[in-house]
Amino acid sequence: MAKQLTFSYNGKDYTLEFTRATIRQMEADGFIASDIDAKPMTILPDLFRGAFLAHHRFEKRPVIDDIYAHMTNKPVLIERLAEMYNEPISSLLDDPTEGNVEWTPNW
Amino acid sequence: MDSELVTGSESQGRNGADHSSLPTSYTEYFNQLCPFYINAGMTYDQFWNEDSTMVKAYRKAHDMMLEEENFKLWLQGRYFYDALCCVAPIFRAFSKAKKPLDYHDQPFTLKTEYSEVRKKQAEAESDRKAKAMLEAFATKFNKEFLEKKGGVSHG
Repeated sequence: MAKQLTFSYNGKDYTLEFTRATIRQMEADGFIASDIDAKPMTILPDLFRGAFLAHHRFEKRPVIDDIYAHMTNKPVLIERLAEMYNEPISSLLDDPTEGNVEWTPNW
Repeated sequence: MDSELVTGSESQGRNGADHSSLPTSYTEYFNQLCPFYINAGMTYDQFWNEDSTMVKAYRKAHDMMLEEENFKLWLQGRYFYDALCCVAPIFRAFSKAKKPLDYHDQPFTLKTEYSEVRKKQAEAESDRKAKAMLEAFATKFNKEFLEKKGGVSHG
């Protein structure tokens, strides 16, 4: 099951998800994920907007921006969105079956 | 979160992705792999629009299908080999045997769940027979021993 993020806003239920098609569309529209370090203030709202394409394609941009402005715990939100964005590609990569390397993050 | 996510690897992916000439965006990578997954049975819509983790199941199913196909080909080879062995005598110019050997009456028993049950039943039957034979032997031996012992004591 693909990672999804759900919430309600103004009485409407939303499900955020990335599919390969929505990532393709985002990249066609100029979204470059690696720009996150250089332009975080642009990239993060774009990432959030892109997550609406799968299930709420016709939601208006001002509404999405308003939702983004009201979202709490943004650092965790962004982290989760990044995980969701990576899932369509990570699911295409094989897990190594031997010689696995254990790793530990320092945060 | 990097458009040049998977660079630097020189390995060839199991699903046909050549990592030595890696694409620079997710879209390129998806485009490269899309035909593989369509060949594995996914629809175009499933690959692009549906649950992105679905590919894992298709990849595993594809592997299983390849293994099954490989096994079928191997099995066919075994049947051909046996068939050739059966008819080989009649193709020997100076052989006295002019009749081919009988081919298998039954197909090979494959290791399936059903065959495992049958195997266990056969083993249990074999054990039961062995036990009965051993008991019969023991009874006979004891009887002879007692007779001999009785003979000695009376003698």
